[in-house]
Amino acid sequence: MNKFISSLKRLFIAIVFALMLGAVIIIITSSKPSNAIKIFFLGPFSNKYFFGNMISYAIPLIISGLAASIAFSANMWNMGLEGQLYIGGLCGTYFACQMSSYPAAIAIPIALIVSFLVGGAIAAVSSYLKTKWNINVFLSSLLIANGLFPFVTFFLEGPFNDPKAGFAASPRFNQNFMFSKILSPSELHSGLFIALGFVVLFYFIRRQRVLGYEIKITGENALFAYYGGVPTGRVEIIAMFLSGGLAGLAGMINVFGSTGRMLGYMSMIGWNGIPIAIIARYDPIIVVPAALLFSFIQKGAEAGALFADITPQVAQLIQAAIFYIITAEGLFDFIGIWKRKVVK
Amino acid sequence: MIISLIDSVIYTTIAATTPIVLPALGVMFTNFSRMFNIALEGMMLVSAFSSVLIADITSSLLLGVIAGIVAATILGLSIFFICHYFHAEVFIVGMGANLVATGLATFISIQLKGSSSLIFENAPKLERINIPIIKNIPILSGLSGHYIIDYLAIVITVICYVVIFHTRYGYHLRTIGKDAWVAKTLGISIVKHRFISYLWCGFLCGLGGAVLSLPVGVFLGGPVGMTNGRGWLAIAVLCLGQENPLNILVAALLIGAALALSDLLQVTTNLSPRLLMILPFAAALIAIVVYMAKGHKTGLGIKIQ
Repeated sequence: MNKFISSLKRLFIAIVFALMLGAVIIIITSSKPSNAIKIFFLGPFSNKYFFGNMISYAIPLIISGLAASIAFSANMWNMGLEGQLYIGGLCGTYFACQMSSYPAAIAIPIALIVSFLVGGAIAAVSSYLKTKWNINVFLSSLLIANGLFPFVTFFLEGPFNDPKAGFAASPRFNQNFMFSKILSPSELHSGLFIALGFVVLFYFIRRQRVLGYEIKITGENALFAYYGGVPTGRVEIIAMFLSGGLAGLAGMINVFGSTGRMLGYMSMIGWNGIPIAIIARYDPIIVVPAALLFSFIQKGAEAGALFADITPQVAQLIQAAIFYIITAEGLFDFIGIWKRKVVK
Repeated sequence: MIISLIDSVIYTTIAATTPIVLPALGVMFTNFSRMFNIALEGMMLVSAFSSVLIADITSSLLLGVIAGIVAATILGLSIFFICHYFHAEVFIVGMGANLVATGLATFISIQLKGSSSLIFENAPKLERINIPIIKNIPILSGLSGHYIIDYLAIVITVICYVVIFHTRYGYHLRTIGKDAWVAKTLGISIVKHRFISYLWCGFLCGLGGAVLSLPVGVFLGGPVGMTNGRGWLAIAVLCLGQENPLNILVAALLIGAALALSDLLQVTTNLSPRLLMILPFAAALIAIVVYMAKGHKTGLGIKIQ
């Protein structure tokens, strides 16, 4: 329970910091600051359309936040989330295109499973290299992900390109496969229930199952876990597989939910999963509000770009700055919110 | 024909090695001081941006390079201060610094000129320097005609070697790298050495970033950006070269050769440039696997609580 409260505190500080930084940047750059700030803060809540889009943007973020959480809690620093998301989306979209004549009830699950397996397999390679030759997971997953970006872009520009699109994008699949919309004018889609289902599932695994316990103690002290009879190598591979699989799934849900085809640019969904997991201290429940915070920043900046003179890149800047502040626990000593954690 | 091919391979290899060996040396210092800096990508990006921007405004190359070094150092020191005084985790902050650098460079260039990729027409370009006798010898002529920073990189590698292995400072730094607790009981100030190592890292990454943008007078923003993964390759180089600057240079030449090969194949064959971009990352990964399979230890100080 103590940990739950401390992750809530982290979330609170992330929110306060993000809003303050956003306000400061807008005051510096905007010509009519008061109007721009109002749109940035209230824009996502102003009507059904913007509100639905905000929730919709949070859906893949929730899943990639879960993906980061499960790998990080086993102390496996999976930095390849963006690459796994990218290639998972590509393979899933390929299968969806091939199965255009099949009914949606068969095609959608197969595409989702394919994206899960491909993303998971890519992540498990890093984990295998660690178990076999003790290669740093951080390094290997990053190098693999960096190699995957041009690889996927090659397919989207060449063999698997839609010539009518005019840019790096896959052909459209049968549009009956798209997730149904919930909140009508907005983009909010039923992938939300899949995301929330995974949140509940991982909360259950983390709290109730042996696997969750094994992942946690392997992450805290692998030697101790090994001494206690936990097959640490196998647990690490499972954690990485689930993490990469969820990342691939996030890519595919984004395709089924909002884009309708695979697009050849970095969406930053995978990268943003990392701070979301860290804000939440790997707690699946807190991942949801943390993902909503990131989505709020993104959509607030987009609304600001529409109705005021905010540059949409403000969102990326604020999201990046949250990384900076989120583990700096000493920063909050003086306001007494936080008890200092003893660092050697 | 073959000789000119060898020439161009050597030439491109050296040109591609510079922006890898410089940040790799920088991260070596921070690795010794047990505060591993992973924000090489970001530091090189801000340096590439500010050096070409200042060179454009002042039309002075020297001021441009200095601006790049200062910008990279400021970003590096921001990591150091927030980690030292506020007990943040250097790993997370470093990742934040990478994204802040991308965001900031893109944001400022959009605010200034309205586009994330800029061409600076007024910026003076770095001159190629020909070495008089070597440029006429067939196979060695690839060694001539590089920019001044390329030659400087080799000199800096040797200087780093001397500093690490033949000075009192280097001895203290290596002690911290071996065991910070022992160093502390000997009376070596860990904080001071961390600070100095971040200054080294800022200086070296600043030079590495300037050599990317100044010769062409162009800045590319966006998520992939100008650095295109070179900061991560530098960490792979550190993993291969360990604690010896000369080994790091050799490892960087290996990765540089892969980059050069991917460039040359793009020109000479009609393979897709996208697929060839995978080559340096694949080479780095395979090199690390081979190296580690022989039973070496990485010695990277990445430890996260």
